Amino acid sequence: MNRIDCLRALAPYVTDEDYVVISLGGTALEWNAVRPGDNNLYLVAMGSNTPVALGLALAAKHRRVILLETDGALLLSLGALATLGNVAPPNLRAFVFDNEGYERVRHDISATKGKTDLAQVAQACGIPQATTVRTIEAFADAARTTMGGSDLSFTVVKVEPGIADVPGRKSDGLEDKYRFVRYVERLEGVSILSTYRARLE
Amino acid sequence: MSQALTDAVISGLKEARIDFISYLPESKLHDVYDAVLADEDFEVVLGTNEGECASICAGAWAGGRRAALIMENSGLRVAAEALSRLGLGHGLPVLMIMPFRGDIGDVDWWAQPHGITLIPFLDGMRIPYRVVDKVEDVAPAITAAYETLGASKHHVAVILSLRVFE
Repeated sequence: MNRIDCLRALAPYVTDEDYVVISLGGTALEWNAVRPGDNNLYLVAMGSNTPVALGLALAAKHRRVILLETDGALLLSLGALATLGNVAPPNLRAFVFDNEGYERVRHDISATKGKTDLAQVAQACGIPQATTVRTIEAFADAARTTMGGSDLSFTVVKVEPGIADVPGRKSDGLEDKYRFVRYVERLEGVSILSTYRARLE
Repeated sequence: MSQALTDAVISGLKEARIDFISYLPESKLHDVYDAVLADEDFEVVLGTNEGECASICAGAWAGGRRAALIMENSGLRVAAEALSRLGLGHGLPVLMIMPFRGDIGDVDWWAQPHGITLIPFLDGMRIPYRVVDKVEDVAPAITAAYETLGASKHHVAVILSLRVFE
């Protein structure tokens, strides 16, 4: 199963009123090609994707937050699953694209190629609905079910290594931040980027 | 920990209109943790390490909340990777409040590394900070720190000297 096929299957369920937090590497490149938009928060911060998505989900409880996580990034902060299980924001949909390696740096072994099962870890952390899908049909079914649901979801998506032939991204982390937060300001009608005193006035 | 200090921290948080807190507990500020957990003005998330807590705060900030991370200063070392990536790489800021364990006069041997590494770590990550020595300066430091955070879009730290715990 290729990641980009999964992203194409997921995209129709994502609206401009959802927020999407995206891990780095091929996942970001492919999602940008499949569904570009200022509601995407691209992060190059392994270990921070899941907790950033959790904080965002708590800040925007009336929105769906979709997390496109990766195995290497999540493995860097497995404790985040314990917090996620305890907080269990019902508006968060987590998809972990697990290629069992660190593809961007050409190393094809991560812990999930061995004995580590992220869905079982998530279940043990209090996310009983965590599951693993291994076929595009199973992913499409999981995307439809979880995106239409009303609870926290956590779907590990076993994908083949490889990055689709898609254009690169030209923005840096600061530009990505500004585009996303300006979008939140417009959508929510709030002021985030102005200074403290200006926000009080 | 005095009630006056607890009140000062809570007052500073409220004057800065902080409404979201992520934390890991430590001994010096235990009364503050109890106070924020009991106060419905704050949404409070207990994390599993300080890097995770910083990331939770950054996500909450991006969604429009005014967030603070409360932790021991040792947590700065744990959070260094997340703070560097999110702050220097993305401009997603986090307000941090922490005691100055290992400060001059700290009697605990295990706290000495916290004191030795605190300021170099802050300087290394270009994080502005204020060390507060008096209880009456705590609340103004928190509100000023959030102003700097808003203007700089970078992390800011408020460090409570051991003197404020006396």
